[in-house]
Amino acid sequence: MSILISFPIVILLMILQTTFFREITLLNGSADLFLVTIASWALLSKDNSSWFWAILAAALCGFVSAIPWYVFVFTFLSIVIMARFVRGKLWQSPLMSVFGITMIGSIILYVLTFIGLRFQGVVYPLQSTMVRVIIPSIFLNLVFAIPVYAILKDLSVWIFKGEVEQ
Amino acid sequence: MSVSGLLDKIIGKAVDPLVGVQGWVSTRVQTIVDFFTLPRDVTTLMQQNAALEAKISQLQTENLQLKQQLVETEILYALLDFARDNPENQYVAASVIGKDPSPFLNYLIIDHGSDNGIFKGMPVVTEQGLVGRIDAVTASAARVQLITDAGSTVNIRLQDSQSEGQVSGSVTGDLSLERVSASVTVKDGELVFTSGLGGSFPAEILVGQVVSPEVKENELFQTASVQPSVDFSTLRAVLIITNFQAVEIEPLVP
Repeated sequence: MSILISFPIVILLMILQTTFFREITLLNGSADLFLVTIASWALLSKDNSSWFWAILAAALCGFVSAIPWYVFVFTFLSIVIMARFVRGKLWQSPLMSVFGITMIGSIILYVLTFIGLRFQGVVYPLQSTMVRVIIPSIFLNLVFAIPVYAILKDLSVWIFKGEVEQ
Repeated sequence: MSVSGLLDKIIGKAVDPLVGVQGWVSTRVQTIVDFFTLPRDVTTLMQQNAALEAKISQLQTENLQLKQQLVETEILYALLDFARDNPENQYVAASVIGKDPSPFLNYLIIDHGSDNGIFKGMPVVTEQGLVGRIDAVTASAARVQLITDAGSTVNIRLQDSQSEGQVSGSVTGDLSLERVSASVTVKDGELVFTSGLGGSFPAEILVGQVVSPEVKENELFQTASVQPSVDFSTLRAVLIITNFQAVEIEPLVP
């Protein structure tokens, strides 16, 4: 069930990310809905579906975006690894976990993007990129982490309750 | 009596109580009528109110849709005028349907692809000027690299001085003028057009205007900002020049 539902959710995320969330900017930064969703789902899911969600999201992002695909694959899988590691340890403070993973995941994503684009020959000035893009984007990711986590928590209750009843 | 007005006074005195009675009876009768008819009327009014509210809602939606269509029509008319003024090119119009998910990049996604004759490298313009070029294509959509993207470089020519240079994008979406000789006099507000050099874009497409040129001592080239002619934040529709074949310059291999 959680794998089946990942298809419409990831597609919906892509539509929202390329339209609505790219318009909500802070300086030149914008939130990454995929990253926040993968982080939340990896903390909430009671099965191994978060791996599938991460790969599906990475594949779609790699297809749509001009950022090299391996940046998304590496970042989203790292987030799942971190979330599964943290889940057993900080289970009493889920919001702290989601904030921590979102922040570390964001740093990984933007540093890898920076490096990946440099490999493609696009050189970004470090200071202005940090001030204008990376820090505002991380802040927006943290802001959106709360509502996304809340929505996915309801979704996980609905999915896993159904699976338990079966 | 009638002439003296006495008759009017007498009639007035006689009628006044009758008018009072008439008013009293009328009020009571209206109250009784209301008592019997009001519940039905409230129901009818509520139904009418609901119907009118639904109608208002529908009309508001229609109004919004019409305004939206009006804006789109104005954009399309502007693009059509541009296409008529430049008959040497063939155009395909496309709507902007999204942006690249990453905040690092200034790319657009449009709703036309290879099925509509669009291929990688084709220039993208609006009636205001140069937008960018096609970066990737699927059957029904394409990704456009804007000239404001950090990876974009456009060979340009300045209108007044006729000197050539480059306009590069940045992570912040600002355009900067580069590779213009320090000996050239560049004026504030001077128009910047594509030069056609390099084969990436056709010549004579408006890119923007020079803002605050600066010549530093002992520098070979001067720098300036360029205000793009296209407002990228409100871009809704674009034209793709389909009869321009971009030249892919590969490094020479010995």
